Parts: sequence; C-alpha cells; structure tokens
Amino acid sequence: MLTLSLLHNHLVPVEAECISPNTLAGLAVCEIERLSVFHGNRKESLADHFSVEGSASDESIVVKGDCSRIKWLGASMSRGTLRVDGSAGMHIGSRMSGGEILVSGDAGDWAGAEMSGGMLKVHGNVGNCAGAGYRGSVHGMKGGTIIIDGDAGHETGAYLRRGLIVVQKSVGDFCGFNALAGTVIAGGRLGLRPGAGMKRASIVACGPAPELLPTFQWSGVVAPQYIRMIGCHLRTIGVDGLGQILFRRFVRYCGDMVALGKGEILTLAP
Amino acid sequence: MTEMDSKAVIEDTFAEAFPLTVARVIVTADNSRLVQSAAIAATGFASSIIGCDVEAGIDCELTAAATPDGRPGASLLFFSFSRPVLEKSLVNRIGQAILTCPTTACYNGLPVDPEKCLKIGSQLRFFGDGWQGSKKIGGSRFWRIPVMDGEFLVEEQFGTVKGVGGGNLILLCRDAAGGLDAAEACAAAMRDVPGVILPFPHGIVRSGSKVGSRYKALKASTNEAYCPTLRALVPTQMPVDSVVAYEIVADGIDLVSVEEATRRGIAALLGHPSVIRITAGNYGGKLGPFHLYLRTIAGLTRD
Repeated sequence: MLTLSLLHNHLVPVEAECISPNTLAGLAVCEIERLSVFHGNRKESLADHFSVEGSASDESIVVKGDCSRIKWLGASMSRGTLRVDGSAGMHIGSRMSGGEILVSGDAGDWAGAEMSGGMLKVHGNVGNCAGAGYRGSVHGMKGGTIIIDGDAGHETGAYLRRGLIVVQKSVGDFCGFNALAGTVIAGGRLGLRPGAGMKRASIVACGPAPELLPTFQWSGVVAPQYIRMIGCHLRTIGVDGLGQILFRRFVRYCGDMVALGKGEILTLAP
Repeated sequence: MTEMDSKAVIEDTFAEAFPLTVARVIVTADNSRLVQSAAIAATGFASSIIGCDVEAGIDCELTAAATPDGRPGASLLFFSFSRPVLEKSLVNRIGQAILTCPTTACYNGLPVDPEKCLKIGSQLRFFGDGWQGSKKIGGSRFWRIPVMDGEFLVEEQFGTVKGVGGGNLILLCRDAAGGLDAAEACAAAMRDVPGVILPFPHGIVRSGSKVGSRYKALKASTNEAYCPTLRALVPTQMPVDSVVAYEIVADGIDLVSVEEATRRGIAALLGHPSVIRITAGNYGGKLGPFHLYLRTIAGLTRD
C-alpha cells in the first residue's frame, strides 16, 4: 500500500492527475516523488506537496490530509483502490472506468464526472455536477456507481447516460438534467426541476415529493422490480442508509415530454 | 442401512450419463404460490429430450434473502444438447409461462461467459413493442417490459455450463404399493441434492425406454426387459419375486452432484423392505462418457 500524506494546506489548487493506481503502480518511491503536478500554473513535483511511503504494487493508495484543494484524484483510473482519509477536491474519479475510490470526507464539484465504471463512495457531501458531463460533452456518467452518504449539489447526474448515483440525503436543482438513461436515487429532498429535458433516465425521490415540471405526467402507482433489485444490490455493497424505502411503492411520473418522454421520476406513494 | 443389512442387491453395473448444456433460471414473485405456479408451468413438458425440447425441473425454492430482488423465488434448471435449442426453449418458456404470471421477474443464476451465454431478455424485450427499457445493475443488463400489472423484469443474458444428464437408478420391487413408496423415497432423497433435478413427473419414471424400435419413426420404445407383463414373452431382467420396476432419472449441474444424488438414492432404497434389486440403465458405454458405477458410489466392492 502506498501512503501519500499532504504536507501543507493550499489556497491555490493543485492538479494531481498522477495520483491514481494506474500511474503509480510499479513506480519506486523516488519516481513517484518526481511526478509532475500543477500548483496553479506552476509545474512542481509531487514531493513538494506529499510525503510518499510504501509501494503501490498492490494497486492500493491512501491519501491523507485535507485534500479539498487537490484536484483530479483518481482521474481516469481503471483499477485498484484509492482511499482518501479526509476531503477531496474537484474532479475526483473523473472519467474513471474501474477500481474503487473511497472518500471519508467531502468531495468537490464534478465528482465522478463522465465515469464509465468502478465505484466512487463519498462519506460526506459532494459539490455540483456529480456524475455529470463536462460542458460540450454529449454524455455524462456512462457506467459504474457513485454512492454519496451526504448531500449532493446541483446538476447531479446531468447528461447521465448509464450507471447508478445514490445520494442518501438531499440533491440540488436540475438533478438528471438532460439525462439519457441511468438512475439517480435521492434519499432526501430533491431540488428544483428534476429531470428537466431527460429522455429515458430514472430519478427516484425517496424524500419529500418534489415539485415537478409540468412536462412530467402522472402515470400510476408502481413497485418496479428493478428498484427492489437496486435495494438488494446496495445491501450487498454495504449501503444500508436507505433501509426499506426502495421496497415500497412509488408514484410514477413520465417525462420529460419536451424530450423523448420515456424517462421517469418516482416519488414515494402516500 | 448398508447392503449387508438390506435384502436388496445392488447390481454391479453403471448408469450411463452424458454431457448437456445447462441454464439456471431464478424466478421470483410477490408470493411463493405464484413462484410455484410459474416454476411448474415453465418446467412443464420437459421430461426427456427424446420427445421434449429440453429437460427441466425445479432445483430448489429460494428464500427472499437469497433472490436478487428480495422476494420469494425458485431456481429452475434447464438441460439441452445445444445452446441454440436451449436458448429458443427458454425464450418460449419464459415468455409463455413466467412473463404471463402475475408479479414475476426472471434472473440468470449462472456466471455469464459472453461466448457461451443465451440471449433471453434481449429477445423477450420485443414484447414491449417499443415501450421496453433497460437498466444496468451490478454489471448486468435487465429489460423492463411493461405489462398489465406493472413491469416484467428479465435479465438480458443467461449463463450456461456443461452439466450431466441421464443419471439413473432402476429399482425392482416385490409389491406395487411398496415399490411406489420406495420410488418416492428415492426421488425425494435425490431431489434434495443442490443442483440436481428429476425431470419426470413426480421424479419417477414408469416407462423406462430402450434406444430404437421396430417402428422406424420412433427413436425410443418401451424397455420390455423391465415390463412385468411380458416376462413370459421376452428375455426379462425382472426377478421372479418382483412385480414392479421404476426408474429415477437425475440431471445435474455437474458430475459430482449427480453422483451424490445417486449415492443418496441408493441409500434410501437400501432401507426399504420392498426393494429386491437396484440396477441402472446403460447402453454398453456407447452413449455417454460418464459411467456411474452403482457399487462404487455406494461404497461397496465391485464383483
């Protein structure tokens, strides 16, 4: 296991895309220390910001300290484990395709943006655009799972194409904006205009019934088996926060009728 | 009970079994009554590949904790000589017997090898007439087909493995009622083995067959050597003091499970007072590569 300990807190963010099992596995400590990071617009070495101990030959990395100003942790990783003992900055797990990232604190904006596989678990809150697509991209998240124990910001799951986002507490505005498919589950309050422009995705609101756009139409009370399956699947990966909620009945609203209209928002049936 | 304590004799012969392709289907529903109905219907008319497209049966019932969606379920096993035949049969059987049953859902129960899998949900989805949708959960794709009570959920791909078909025991008994009782006890013991099904009705065969017939159109015909009413007319395998014979056929997900079922079946028969002789059906070793020697499996020395 490789341990990276943050040496000092920053005001100017550090872009450390190299902190990923893909890059670090197989490198010696001295090679890891020489890897480049950007501190603002200055190119510096990883050793300027982290102390390095151990080896990543087992594709397991632990990052210690308040990394809320460290961007791109685990970006594009495809295997291994990255554990952040503290908070993580923007773009954590961005475009990851495999492996597992665990964050014990909060994570910044664009967590798991455009990821296509693997698992991102954040124990605290995340910023805006978790699992979303970058501006100009056609697709957001294309696979994998994001589990957020706290709150999520605006545009969570925007342009979602596939995959599962579970937020155990509240979600901000425009959840699932322009989503093409995939599933977002919100354990708490859902913000304004959920599912705006979405074509096929599912948004499950387990908290108070959200205010929906008029382009979503009531479509009966249902108990979809796939939601139960997700409930069982979450239990198998150790996510128990939603309890039995996913095994209840839901009111189904189809939309967004300004797009294809084959998406759905499910709210807990009274 | 051992052979020494029992009056029954285990013949020094073997059951001849052969490889078959197997699929495992997990069916769930809101209650176990619906599960049972769907399971019985889906595995119906599937006793022997002599005349059916597949051999099938209920492997075991599953508790809610053991199913993918947390509802009561059952594990069904389907056996066939080839994957294309198995795929076609499963699409038909799930489509007609499980999809049609209220509240059911249908999941794959085996690991999926992309080159050896069956495309089931991806064919059944067309019943949705364009209103179907899919979800990818835990690496597998599931199709949601709108139906009159909500949605039918079916997994896209089903895995297959090479299993073993044709494991069998033949029991020769001194009285009809006792013989049937012994056959039922034997079937119950064999059915208890995980990964084993008894594809015939009630697990018991009264029409053991031989290969071929004097009529060219038939692939199989009655095995007259075990018909008590023909003892005066044909070379018989039935001892003088026997009045009835039954066969128990077992298919398993692997050879070990079929051997275990055979062992338990023999043990159940040895303890029964009506059983005179225990034997098995084979074709001289020409049909299948798996030879289950009864005395070896029972832990006895062979003659």
